[in-house]
Amino acid sequence: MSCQTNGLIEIWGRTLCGKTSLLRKGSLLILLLYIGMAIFAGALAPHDPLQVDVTNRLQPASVEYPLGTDSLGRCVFSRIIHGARNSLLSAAVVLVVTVSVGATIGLVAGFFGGRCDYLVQRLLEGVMAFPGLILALAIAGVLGPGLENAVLALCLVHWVGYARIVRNMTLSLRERTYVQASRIAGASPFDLLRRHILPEVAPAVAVIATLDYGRIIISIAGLSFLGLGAQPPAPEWGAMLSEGKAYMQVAPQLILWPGVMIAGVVLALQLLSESTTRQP
Amino acid sequence: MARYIAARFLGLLPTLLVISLVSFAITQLTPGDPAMLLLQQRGQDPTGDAISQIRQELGLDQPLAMQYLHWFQRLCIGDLGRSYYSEEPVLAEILLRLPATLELTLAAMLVALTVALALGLSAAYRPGGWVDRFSKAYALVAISLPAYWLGLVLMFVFAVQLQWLPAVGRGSLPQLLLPAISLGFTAAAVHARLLCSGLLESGRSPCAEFALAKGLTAWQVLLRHSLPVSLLPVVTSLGSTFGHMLGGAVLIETVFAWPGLGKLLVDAIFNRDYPLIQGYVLVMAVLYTLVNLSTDLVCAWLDPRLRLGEGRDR
Repeated sequence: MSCQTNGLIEIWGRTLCGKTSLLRKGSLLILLLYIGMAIFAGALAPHDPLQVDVTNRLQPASVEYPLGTDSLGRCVFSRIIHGARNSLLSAAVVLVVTVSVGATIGLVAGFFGGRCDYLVQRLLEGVMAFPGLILALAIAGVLGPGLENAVLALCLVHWVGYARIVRNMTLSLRERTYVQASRIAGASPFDLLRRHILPEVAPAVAVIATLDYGRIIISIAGLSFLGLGAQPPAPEWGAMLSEGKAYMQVAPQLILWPGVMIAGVVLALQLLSESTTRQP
Repeated sequence: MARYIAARFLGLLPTLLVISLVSFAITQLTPGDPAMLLLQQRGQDPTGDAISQIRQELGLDQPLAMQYLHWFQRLCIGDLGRSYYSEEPVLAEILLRLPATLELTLAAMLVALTVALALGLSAAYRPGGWVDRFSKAYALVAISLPAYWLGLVLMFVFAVQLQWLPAVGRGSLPQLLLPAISLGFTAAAVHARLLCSGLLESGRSPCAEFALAKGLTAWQVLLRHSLPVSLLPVVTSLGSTFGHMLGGAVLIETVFAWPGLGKLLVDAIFNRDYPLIQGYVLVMAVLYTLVNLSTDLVCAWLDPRLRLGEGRDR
């Protein structure tokens, strides 16, 4: 997996130090803001996100409460900041698990071929026969509501995409002359994978993963919106949207800001991924 | 063509088998004992005797492979079991709600296709023009917006503030409008870009250049020569988009209180109604497979190269 992290570091390093477009720097800055918000949530939030104050409910924005208060009088601003932790971290767990599991399975299936590849192919077909979010929804539903179960459900479904891409790349890389030459020179399968195949696969996977992170954030927030992810009173953007929906008429800020936060981070990831593919 | 269709239908069988396996496997993930749960829901005492009786009734005392075979046998005659909650047959419950979801999904597809055609064609007519730039920005924003949030925002603007459209429910065309737009918003942007790049590519072909040289206007060339070729990838992509919309419909139905399958699923999840969840997944996957098959058939009909290539292999 070290090559994979190298690929990521390379892309991010080039972005930070090299001559890069304004777009890329901007998107990276937004991402850093989000990450900083998730890490330093405790210090940044002016109030306790779980502090209930019913006498002070559904207040509009003020100096004390920059984004107003929700139906239980909790500070929306603090909940948004703490929500970054739940949303970004759980999506990161899904991303890391699915990329490593998917890439490993894809590498093994593509490289060794034969019966192993056949089995993996059938498994991939099985999961991909189910459209979009439906399989993840059903698994999360059967496991029961909870952020851990939502993460587990997304992991069980999401690795398939990476396995397929990595398998197809490995299959064609395996036949390249330099890989064949190395094999004839006596390199072990492990060396071939580590030295020749992973370095080629990793950058492509890193670009896809950047884009995919946004999709996972949307999926997790969606599951929470349905009540399957983060459980109340935990602050999570999707769950906040679902709580705020009933008070849309009196306090529209309750449905505005969580959505803006989700859209903002996904847009930044999208711009970053786009600028990476444009100038490789 | 007949041969191609027959081959594709035969190819369905393994997929359907896999779908049944995965759907069966999902219920094995249930935490706790289903027999115990069923007893609790019926309001009976979960004594040892009662549990073993229920286990026998449901066939839970048999090995997993036998359970699957029995389940599969009943599946073949359309028996998906009974809902734990309402005690109605699962298939009947699903078929009752299916039209509402299909109506929403098809309306969203219509929105997506109309917007994609209009935007894609006008963007390709003047590459680099303001429509082109607008559709690029629209695509970026559309992919970043969660559809369920867009639904909430549209509901706030058009139903709560302006009061132009009803916020929730099903039955009339105005009620369909907001859910369909929220569900089709992203797909519209993606397909507009797909169509535009396809049109630009085929616009560079000798055939399009000849048509221009012969004196046709740019619009005529776009519509008569470039569009038929560029529609093919759009049609292929519409198949998987339909699947994504079925999944997204669960969220949109929750936002707009649309009485479809998504609502049924969410209720089933909170009632821990496992047969219903299983039935939902199964029906959705079969539907998705059939839609993908029909898009493939449409493509083969549009492009003879596809079906001839297939014929040679076999």
